[in-house]
Formats: sequence, C-alpha cells, structure tokens
Amino acid sequence: MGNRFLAALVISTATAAALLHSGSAWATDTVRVRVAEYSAKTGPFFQELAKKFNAANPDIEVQIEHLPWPEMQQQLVSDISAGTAPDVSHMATRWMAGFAKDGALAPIEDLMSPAFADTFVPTYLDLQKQDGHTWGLPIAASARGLFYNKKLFDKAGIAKPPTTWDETFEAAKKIAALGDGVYGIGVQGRDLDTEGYWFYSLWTHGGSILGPDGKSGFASPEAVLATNNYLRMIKASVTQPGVTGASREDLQNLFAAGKMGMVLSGPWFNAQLAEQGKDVEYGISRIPVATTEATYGVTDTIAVLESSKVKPQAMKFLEFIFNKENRLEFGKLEGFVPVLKAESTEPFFTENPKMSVFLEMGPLAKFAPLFPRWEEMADGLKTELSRIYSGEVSAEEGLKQAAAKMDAILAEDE
Amino acid sequence: MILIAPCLLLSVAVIGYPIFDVIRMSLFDVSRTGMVREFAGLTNFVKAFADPVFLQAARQTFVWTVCVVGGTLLVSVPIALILNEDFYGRTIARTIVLLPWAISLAMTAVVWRYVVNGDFGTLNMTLAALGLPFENYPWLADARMAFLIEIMVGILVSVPFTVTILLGGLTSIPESLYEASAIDGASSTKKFYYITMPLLWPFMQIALVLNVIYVFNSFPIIWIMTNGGPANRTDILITYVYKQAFAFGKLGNAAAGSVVMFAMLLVFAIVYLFLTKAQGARNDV
Amino acid sequence: MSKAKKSLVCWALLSPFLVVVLFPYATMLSTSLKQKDEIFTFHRTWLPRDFYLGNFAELIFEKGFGRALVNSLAISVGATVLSLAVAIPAAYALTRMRVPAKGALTNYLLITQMISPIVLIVGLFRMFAYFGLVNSLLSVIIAHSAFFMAFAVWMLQSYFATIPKDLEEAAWMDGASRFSAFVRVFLPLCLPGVVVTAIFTFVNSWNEYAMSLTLLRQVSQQTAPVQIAFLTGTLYQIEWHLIMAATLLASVPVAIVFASIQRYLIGGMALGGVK
Repeated sequence: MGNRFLAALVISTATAAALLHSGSAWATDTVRVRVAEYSAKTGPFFQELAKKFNAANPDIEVQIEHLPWPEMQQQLVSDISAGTAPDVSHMATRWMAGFAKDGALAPIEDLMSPAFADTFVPTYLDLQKQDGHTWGLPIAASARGLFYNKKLFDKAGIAKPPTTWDETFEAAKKIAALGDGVYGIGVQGRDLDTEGYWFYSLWTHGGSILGPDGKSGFASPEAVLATNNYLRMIKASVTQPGVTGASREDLQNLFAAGKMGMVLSGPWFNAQLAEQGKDVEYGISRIPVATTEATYGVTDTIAVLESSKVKPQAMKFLEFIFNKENRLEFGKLEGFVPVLKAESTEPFFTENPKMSVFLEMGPLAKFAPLFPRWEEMADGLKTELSRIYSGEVSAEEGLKQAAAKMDAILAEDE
Repeated sequence: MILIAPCLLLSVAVIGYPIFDVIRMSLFDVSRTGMVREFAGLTNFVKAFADPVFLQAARQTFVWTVCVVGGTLLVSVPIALILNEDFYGRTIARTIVLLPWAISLAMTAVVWRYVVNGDFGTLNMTLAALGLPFENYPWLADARMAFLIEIMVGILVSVPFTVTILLGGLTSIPESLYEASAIDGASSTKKFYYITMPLLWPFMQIALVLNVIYVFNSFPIIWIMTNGGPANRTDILITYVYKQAFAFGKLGNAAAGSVVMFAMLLVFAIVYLFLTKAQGARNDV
Repeated sequence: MSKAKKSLVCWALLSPFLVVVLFPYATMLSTSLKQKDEIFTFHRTWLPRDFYLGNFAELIFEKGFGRALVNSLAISVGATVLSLAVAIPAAYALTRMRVPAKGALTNYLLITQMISPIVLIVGLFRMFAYFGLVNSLLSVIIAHSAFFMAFAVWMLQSYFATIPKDLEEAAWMDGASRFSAFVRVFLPLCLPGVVVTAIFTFVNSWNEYAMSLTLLRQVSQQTAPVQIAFLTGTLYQIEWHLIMAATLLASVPVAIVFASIQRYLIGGMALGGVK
C-alpha cells in the first residue's frame, strides 16, 4: 500500500475529474491565451512558454494567440459579444475597469493562492483591484525617465542632466542652438500616451488628474503651469517641429538617430536603442521637477475572462508565467520594471544604470485612474492638448474644455 | 428565378444579419461587450447628434468625399484620354497607372505615412536634395495640410479604378464618329465637347456613384495616417464610428452613427436615381 | 504629328502622375533593402548601405510570409470562383429573362455596397461564430464573395446586355438546350467581361483586411495584408524594413496580373460598364 495506493487514488480522481469536466476520458483542457505584442519578440516568447508549460502539464493545453495592440480592443469586443473570447487575455489596465464593469472579467482573488499573490510588488497588484476584487495580474509595468544624449550634452557644454524643468529648458535651448537639424527636447502631440507625456509635467508641478473635490483636475492652476512649461519650449523652437504630428514612436526614432537631446520615455526604449541607435551614447535620469518629484507608472493587465470554463487551469498557467525565472526573462527581453518582489533585487535591475533609475522612481509613481470611461476622458484631453500645442487656444481655455468633458462623463456615470 | 436564388441567398445570409444587428444595436442600450440591454428608442441617435465631434466629422466627411471623388474624376479624365491615344510604351504607362491598385489601402497609408515623415521620410529627403526648404517639414502636424495629403492619397488610390472604367468607355466610341466629324471640319476641341464628352458621360456617372460609395466609407487612409487628429480635424464619420465602438466601448452610439451614414448614402443614391431618371426623361422627349 | 513626337508629349503629360505613383514604390524598394539600423539615421539617404536582401529572406523563412501569400491566394481564388459562380447565373437571368421585381433587386445589390464591412464586423463575426466558422478560410471566402458579388453582378449584367440575342436563338433553333447554348455560345462570347470581373474580385479580395483579420485568428491562417499589419502593430517599434519588403512582395503578383491582362482589361471594360 502506501505510495502505490496514493498514486492510484490520485490518478483515479484526476481521471474522474477529467471525465466530469469534458465528458471524454483523458481529454486535455484547452486554455486559450491571447497576448498583445510589445515587439516582434512577444509572440514567440509566449509560444515558447506555452510549449514548456504544456510539456510539464499533460492535462492542460495552452494555446497562444498574439495580436497587435491596435487590434486588441476591436477583437476582444467582437469575441466577447460572439461568445468566442479566449480564456485569458492581455489588455491595457485602463481598459480593465470598463470590461470588469460590464461583467466580462472574472475576479481572480479566490483563484490564486495568498502565497502567489504575495510575490507581487504591492503597488502594481493593487492597481489591478477595484470594487474589492482583483481583476487581473500586472503583466508589464513601466515607470518613465528622462533619456538624454551624452554627446550632444558635451557638445553643448552641459555638465549634468537637468533636475528641474527650468534647467531642462536651458539645456534644450543650448542643444537646439547646435544647429544641424538637432532638437533640444521632444514633446509628444499625437496617438497613444500623448496624455501621459503631459502627466509628467502635470504631476511634477503638483497637479493631479482628479482634484480633491472629486472633479477633474485638468484645469487647475498647476495644470495650466504644467502646460505652459511645454508651451514655452514649443514657442522657443527647442522641440522637434510639428509637435501635433509627433507620436511617441516619432520621438523615439529622432532620439535613436541622435537628432534629439532629451526625450521622456520608459525602460522598453533601451531595447530599441540597443538595436537601432547603436551609436547613441545616452544616460537616463529622473523626470525633471518643478515642485514635486513624480513619474508616470503604467501597467498592462492579463485577466481571466468570466466566460472561461477552465479558470483554475488558466490560473495555473498564469502562475507559471509569473514565476521569477520567466518574469526575469520577459523583463530583459522587453525592458519592463519588475512586478515581483523577488525580481526587484536582481542585478539586472539594480546594477544596470539603464534600469535602476526606473526601479528607484517606482515608489514615486502615479497612475492614471481606473474609470470605465477613462479612454474618452483622455481623448478629450488629447484633443485639447493638440489645440493648445498648435497655438490655437490658450492653455487655460483648452484645459477648461478638457476638464468640462471629463466632469460631464463623471457626472453621467454616477 | 432559380438562377438568381443563390446570389440573393448568399447576400442576404451574409450581409443581412449584420445589418439587422447594427440597426438593433442602434435602438438599444448596448454594453461595451455587445450585450444588448433595454430598448433605448432614439437615445443613441440623439446622443450622436448632440456630439459636436460627430457633426464636425460629418462636415469633414462631406469635404473628403467631394474632394476625393471630384479630384479623382479631374485627374482620371485626362489620363484616360492620353492612355487612349496610340503611343510608344502605352502598355507600360497603363500598367504604372494601375499600380496603386496592387497594394491594399492600409498598406498604401502605412507607406505614405513613412514617405511624409518630417525627419526621415523620402519626400523631404528628395525635396531638400532639390534645394527646396523642406529639410524637416512636418507634413502631418497641421490639420489642413494633413487632410490635404490624405485627400491626395485618396485620389491616388481611386484613379486606377476610375481610369479603367473611363478607358473602357473611350474604346467603345466608334472611330467612324470622329472620321465623320473630321470631314465636317470640326476642331479637336469641338470633337471633345460634342463627341467624346457625351459618350463618356455615362461611364463617368458609374465612376462617380461607385467612388462616392467607396470614398465615403474609406477607413484606412485617415485612420493610419492621422487617426483623425490633430484635434479631430481629419476625423470622418467612419473613423468617428470606429473610435466610438472600439476605443470608447459605446457600441450603441457607434451603431447609430453607422445607421446615419447609411441613410446619408441612401439619400445620395435616391437623389442620383431621381436626377438621372429626370434627365433620361428629358432626353427621350 | 509623328508617333514618336506624340509619344513624348503623352509621357510628358502623364509624368506628374506617374511620379506620384512610383514614389512610394521607390521608397519601398529603398527601405526594404536597408538594415534595421539604417532606417532612422542622422543623415538620411536613398541608397541602402549595401543591397541587403536579408529582409526578404527573414520574411519568407522566419516570419512565414510565404504561407501568408499562399493563404491570400487561396482566399482570393476561392472568393473569385464563388462570387462568379453565383453572379454569372444571376446576371444572365437579369439580362435575358423576365425577373419579377428586377429593379428592386438591382437596387438591393447597390445598397449592400453602401455599408462598409467595418461597420458590420461585429455582427458578421457573431454570425460566423454562431455557425462555428471562425478560423476557417471558408468563412472569409464566403464573406468576401458576399460583399464583392454585387459589383460582379452589376458589371456582368451590363456586359451581357451587349451580346446580341440572335446567336443564342440560332443555337436554340439548332436544337441546343438553353443550358448548352449558354455554355457553348454565350459564355465564350463574354469571356473578356468575365475575366475582367474576375480580376476586380480577385484584387478586392487580395487587398481586403478587416474581415480577414477578424475571422481568422490563427497565425498559420493569416493573409498577407493582415500579416503586414501585424508588423506595424507592435507597441514600441515598427519594423519598417520588413513592412516595406512585405508590401512590395504582396504587390508583385497583382502587378504582374495587371501587366499581362492589359488588353483584356481595357477591352473588357469597353463592352461592359454601361447599361
């Protein structure tokens, strides 16, 4: 008896469970996992993980589907509405609230063990919680910093990276004065994360997205100061020309080509520079400050869908991808900050000056709010920012519009 | 009747349900995941018309459609006339004119976005090499310039189809008509106005109607090149509807917008049919 | 005016447009021969560092772009065959037989062209999912046929109308059945029109993006436009060198078709097109 009996018992219960579950003996449970691509490497990375996981868990078969980010929302909406949603899906954390509110996501706090939940850096896991439930796990996290081109700084006679916005403005002026198609600092004016670029200035001027009265903080005096901070740079022509036509990608390309002195970006940019900007010597410092030190923290979420019939199996795969070894590999591949406590002490993050600054700024990070209709509010803000940057309206006037739009949406949803 | 049945069946089966689905969603309160909740009457339509961006997009759609379709005809007629002449290398010229058709719209837009990039694009590279002051001109930063470029790309991709239709019309004009008029001593301008244009007119009508439908609904060029920005200045109805549905999760509003778009085209079609019928009646007299 | 002189004038007049057409092609060619670190450089150049063919190799051998082209081909051919198979009888009936509510039918077909597939995508997907047809090339073939068929019927109908009835009637006199007269007399006569309609459908299907994207989820089933879009859709870096190479590759088959059927294309349109 003993071991053999135990083994037999385990096998028979497992078989019974499998029988109950799928109606056919020894059938494997298929878990469909959808990931969005950060780079061309994301898809293959998860395919590889799934292969390992499937080999170790013969009763579960994970299938990876990968999609480009711009198609994620459309496909997820189509799928959920047609009942063909995957069991696990990657999404931006800012979409999570909306999907959770409409009942599309499964709360996972009871699916995962407390020990597993405890491996996460609390800040990042807390961001996945709303209304008392945990709706997902932070699959990627980033903080932002100031990338500066050392060669251009030398040429312009700037000794050290700026710490305040005034110093930044001075440095940008000096670099722009070098001529030869070189720009001082990048300011983003279109597409994904345009509002994020503005938050850097907003928060470091002491502003906030939501005011103490529970209304929009977009039009606060701090917000106006923050906007005028960028505006003075645009007016002095120390930014790239055509701010309203420049996306995050455009700014990064300019920096990678050695044409831009400073740009605010996140740790993933290291990976791009390693490939495309081999000749660019750069450093990363903290985001310049006016009154308050801050950075923009962003996470992406991987969630289990409510429609899934294999939630425990899905969770098992999630626990696998969030083990320390796999996370570390992912972090190195795509350049994200650690979301696990155990990862945070790894030399790759602590001893690498190109990563450590993001780690140090982690505790200062502020986040975008988890409103179901945040996308709309951010879009309203983006529209006004683009009018302000192009000089069509003043900062006060434009921001008032953006705040009014946000307040209207807040009022409608209550 | 049996001959038409498969065609009708396919069309009704595949397109019929989605149309029904859109109309239903436009009249109900719909969650972002497509769950149809309670009946909402015309609320979604009221909301759409109350949104200044919707009205702005509607105006811009009008400008977009008129400019692209008008521009296409303006460019295509002379090109078709030239390609109808007998000259060396005509087959090559015809093939080149058709080339924009060989790339999907989305890819054309992606390539053009790269072409007009301020610092790295090939357009500024070439202009600067020619000594023109376009070292790093940001073509897509200014809404008017961006819209103009999008309209040009729109024209470019509509020309192959239009030229093909017009060339078909030109080759169908019997040579004998021109010979007869030459005997009567008509000048070439007169020939153009009295023979070519009237015979080409029906082909131009076809090109006009189809282009209006395609251009009105054309999504990828604007979506990829400017995403409707800066400040919604290049949004047209279809990009507005797409944003409502998939970025904001307001499927009901998006469906209402789609129904309005459909109604607009329907009105256009009815007016067109009415006008051509009236004209036909006059010609018959 | 001599033909040589005329040719010069014609080319000169066409050149502004031809330049605009060829400019993006030149851009694609130049970029597709560059390596990744050459795309965004301080000093830009038209000419690549060396004529690097690695992008094409990477596309075909590593990214499976060859398979995407094959998928596209299968779908386009399938959609062309299916839509012609239903459109030819319908167009024949509309031109040669008495059909009740003929006007309404033609108008209905026009109306189906008025709604962009993008607007209908959610409903379309729900329906195909309901029938379990998601992730099958067949679903895209059916969807494409349904959307492109109306145009095919329209073109064929006007083309058929130009074929004189006498020939068929003569065949009936000789004792041929209606069907065999159709196949042996009518179809050969209108072959150019059918070919042109086929080309239109083929090109539309070859370039279609939204439906293929939504209905086919497995990487192994992706069509060429979808795969190219995937290269542009990563969050942090756009792989321009690969995109340009892929776009160039995808346009080659279509361009060859255009060049080789040139005469057919124009001739076919000549007789078709007008009611």
